[in-house]
Amino acid sequence: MRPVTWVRALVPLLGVILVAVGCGSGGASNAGSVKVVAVWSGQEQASFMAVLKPFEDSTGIKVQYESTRDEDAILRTRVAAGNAPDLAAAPSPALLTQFAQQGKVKALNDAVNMNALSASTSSGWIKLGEPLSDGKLYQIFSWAAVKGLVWYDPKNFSAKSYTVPKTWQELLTLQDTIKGNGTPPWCIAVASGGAADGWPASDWLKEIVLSQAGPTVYDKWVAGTQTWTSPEIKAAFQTFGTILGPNDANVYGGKNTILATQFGDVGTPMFASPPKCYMLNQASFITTFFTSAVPSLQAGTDFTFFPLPDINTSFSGAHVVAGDSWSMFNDTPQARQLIKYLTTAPAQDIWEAWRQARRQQAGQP
Amino acid sequence: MSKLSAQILVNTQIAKYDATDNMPTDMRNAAWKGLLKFISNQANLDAILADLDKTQKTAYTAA
Repeated sequence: MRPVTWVRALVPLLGVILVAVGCGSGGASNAGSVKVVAVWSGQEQASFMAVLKPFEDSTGIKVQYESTRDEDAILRTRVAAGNAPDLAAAPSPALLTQFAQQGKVKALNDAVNMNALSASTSSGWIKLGEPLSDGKLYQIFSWAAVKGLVWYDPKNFSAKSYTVPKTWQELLTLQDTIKGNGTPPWCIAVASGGAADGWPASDWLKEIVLSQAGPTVYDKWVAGTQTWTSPEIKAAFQTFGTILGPNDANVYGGKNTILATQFGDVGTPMFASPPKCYMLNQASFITTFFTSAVPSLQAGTDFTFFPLPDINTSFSGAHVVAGDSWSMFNDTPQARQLIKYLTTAPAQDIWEAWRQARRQQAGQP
Repeated sequence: MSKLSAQILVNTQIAKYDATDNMPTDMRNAAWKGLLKFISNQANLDAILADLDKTQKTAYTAA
């Protein structure tokens, strides 16, 4: 699997939803410009410019890009001053909500084919862009993914007749079966150096809180109004504990290995022969680490994934997600054309290759 | 696999952004550290959670 295939998977979701606007005859000198604000600078900015170049070449529209370290701060300032960019990487959920309440950000509903969006995308994704829950869409993704995926080697599974668990109970049964056969079911690695140490474990916790306690508790937890000692959050830690097992015996190498191993090296024991573990939980970026450690690995044959099963079926299909999304502050034909371009396949191919490089440089997703 | 990936996206009925990314920095760092402590000693959970509550009281007002 090449990184771009992930993006191709999104094309049916996003590529069809935007209505073509403007005549877009290439190279017109009066094609105008579009002001864009996002967080990327330096090498990242150069990569973003590479994403934009085919758009500028084909439309003649000039993108005036401004980089900021603090997206929320600059948007607050510029929106207040009446000098908002036309398009910006979407601000934090809290600020997007505020802008929507104040009418400072443009709804995308008439720039987007909402019927096609609803037909091709789950309501969960659309709701992320509807902070006021009033049917008005204020952001659209150019890249999106579910974070928590369980990776495994299908050859290892079939050698032992293990099947992909469809329920949380089946997952717990599977880990007991694997352990009973003499191998720890999981590989977990949480080291990433410095202050970010431990973030990969937080990916487990977040997915458990959302799937076990539901979105309302999750939102309160983010907002700081759900205490950590509350039964729901405590139960989430305890569920993570059932993955770790008593004395962390469900995990290859136990706590010492978990804490000492760099997150990117998490998969290496799984690809040993015989395997030292059978499953790991990580976002899709981890595949670049798999193949840089073991170049012979083939996606689909040597590794594939399943989503973490629902813990509480009242919250079926609940997942922590990530993505790059855009909001429009001035409704211009150029802004609409750019938003359309950023959600097309060629832009997303460049985009995904760039994201992979960014993650590896930053040492985290 | 890309088909599987697309299917998961479509099946995602409840989507939420990364919780710790959207917590104040002090809270986020404390959460990561708390998880390291939990992995080190699961029996210490109550004390870890009580510490996180203390951070929660200050981290949000400072932000």
